[in-house]
Amino acid sequence: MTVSNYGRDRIALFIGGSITDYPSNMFIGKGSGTSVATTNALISGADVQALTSTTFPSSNKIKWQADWNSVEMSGIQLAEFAMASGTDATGSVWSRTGIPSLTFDGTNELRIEQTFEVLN
Amino acid sequence: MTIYDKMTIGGSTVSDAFDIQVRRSIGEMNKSSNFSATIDNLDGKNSGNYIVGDEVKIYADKDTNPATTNVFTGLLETKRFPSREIKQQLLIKGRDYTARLMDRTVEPEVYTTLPAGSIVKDIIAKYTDDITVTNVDDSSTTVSRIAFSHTPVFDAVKKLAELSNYTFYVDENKDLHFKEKSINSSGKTFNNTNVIRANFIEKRDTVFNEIWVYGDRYLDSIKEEFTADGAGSLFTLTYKPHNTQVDVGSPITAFTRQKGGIANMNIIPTSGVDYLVNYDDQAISFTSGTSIGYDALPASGTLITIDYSRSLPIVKVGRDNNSIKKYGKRIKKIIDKEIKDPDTAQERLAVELALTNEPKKEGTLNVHGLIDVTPSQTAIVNLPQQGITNKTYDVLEVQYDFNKTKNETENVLILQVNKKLDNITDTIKNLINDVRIIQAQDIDSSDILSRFEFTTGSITIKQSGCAVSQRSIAGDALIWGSTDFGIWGTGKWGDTANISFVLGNTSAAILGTSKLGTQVSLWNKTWSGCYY
Repeated sequence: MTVSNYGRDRIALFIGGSITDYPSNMFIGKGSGTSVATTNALISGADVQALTSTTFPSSNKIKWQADWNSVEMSGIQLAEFAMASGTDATGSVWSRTGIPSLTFDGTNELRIEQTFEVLN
Repeated sequence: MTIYDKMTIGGSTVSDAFDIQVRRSIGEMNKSSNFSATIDNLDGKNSGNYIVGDEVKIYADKDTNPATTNVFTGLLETKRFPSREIKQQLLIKGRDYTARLMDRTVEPEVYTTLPAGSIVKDIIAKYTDDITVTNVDDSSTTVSRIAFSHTPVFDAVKKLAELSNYTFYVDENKDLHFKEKSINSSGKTFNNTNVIRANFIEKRDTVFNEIWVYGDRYLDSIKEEFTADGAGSLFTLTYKPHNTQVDVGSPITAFTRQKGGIANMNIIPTSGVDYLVNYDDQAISFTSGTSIGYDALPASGTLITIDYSRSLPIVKVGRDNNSIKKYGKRIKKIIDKEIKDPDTAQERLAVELALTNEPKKEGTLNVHGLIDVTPSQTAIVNLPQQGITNKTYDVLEVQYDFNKTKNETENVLILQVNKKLDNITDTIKNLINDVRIIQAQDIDSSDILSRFEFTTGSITIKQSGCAVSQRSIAGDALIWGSTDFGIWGTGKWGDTANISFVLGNTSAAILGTSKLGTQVSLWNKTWSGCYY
């Protein structure tokens, strides 16, 4: 996983008082490949979902959660996901993560949780 | 009977030190307590052992080996390696924690109507590190006003001590003592039973019995009006003028501002100048005559208004007539721009006069068999051959010379008593302080400054975990018509309306909708990562 330049830029703006463009959507996709700081889109996007919840499980931590039902996931071979502040899979990606491929045949739902921690 | 000493540097005992000298001083000595030591460094055995900045502690006791009474705590500040063929040494020097008072300055600030000790506590808290104030007494003297403009903390505390007749020093526990002078007795008497050498010096040139204190100056605005007679060009003012402004016109509301110059700067005044200012003669003269080709003299009956500033000095002078009678008049001038009001000037004058109206007598005593004397204490000195019979003197400095011979003969202690005579170090320090005061003239406590604090830090955002979970929609539920999950007697019907299929329920018994067995199974984490 890599926090993108866009994500770092947003974080700097938040510290400075801006409250726009915070993470609100999670993308899933089928593409494989490494992520770098300049990554701003999924390699092969499949679906997008508004975040189910944004919680703070402990000090300095923030957790985002997104859920898909079996119908939405049916037929998708999940290999990547990304958190973004917009519904467009390109441009507003905070981070992209590649995972070993998972096949969904219509009988499984999907939940993705992503946690960030602020360190000294 | 033997005196034992011990030195530790950075917590480690130094076993190769064969010569240690310690000077414990009070603020009146114009310096910090300090130490020096010579350590054997044959073949470089101690060349890398001690680091500048290490804490140094020195202990001394009589007949207790090893010594346990701490007589000095300070910092190693200088290392030197003088070496010859078979004699390699390490010389170390350093100061006690009074250095903390000398390293920093009091930022521009004015204290008003506070006990001297209270001001000392505030200064120490704000502008020093490591120093505690357990032994700072408030003092009965209330300082009406005192201003500091980047004055070194040591000098600020010294000034307050002088104003309140107090003395100060930092002890071996890094605690500042600010106590009334000549109150705390050591209980010791130094006479022919324990003094092996004595030297007293008394000097007339330490006497000053007329003191002039010059503080800052203020400019006060004043206006004078004249009516021109058309003939006389000279107008004499009441005070010496600064920032002169001359208006001419009748009525005065229809004035013309005149252009000025300085009298006698040029034989022929610069063209266009209307009047000249003569500062010492307190005069304004209008220009005219054939040499300049015009006449600036106002016509008869014209109103002339001269606005100017007069300079008001803060100055106080005081004298001690008894002292003048005994020693002749000796004058001292103090110029201190930090003095902004007459009360402060008067306090300073009174303190200076009290300190200098009698010749200072400084004594040095080499003492046998004693080590437990603390500077700032008093002691009785009875040395009739020196003209001193049972006099109580302040102990200004305690010096220890520890080496094998002196320890065994118990002749390690040298005391400086009574009054401090200025030496070349004091002269240089006074010069430095005078320059500092001149440089600080334009600094005022009310100045607003931009403060920049430079530091380094970072914030890192890291991903602290990702999880991908799956949940079967059929694990524990029954799917109508499914060959895997629709077998009667093996599957389970859900039991909550609106979530699973509930037979006969109008909301959850609708076949073919997503209400059938969608949220019964548990989530199963199929992938996790992103832990960095």
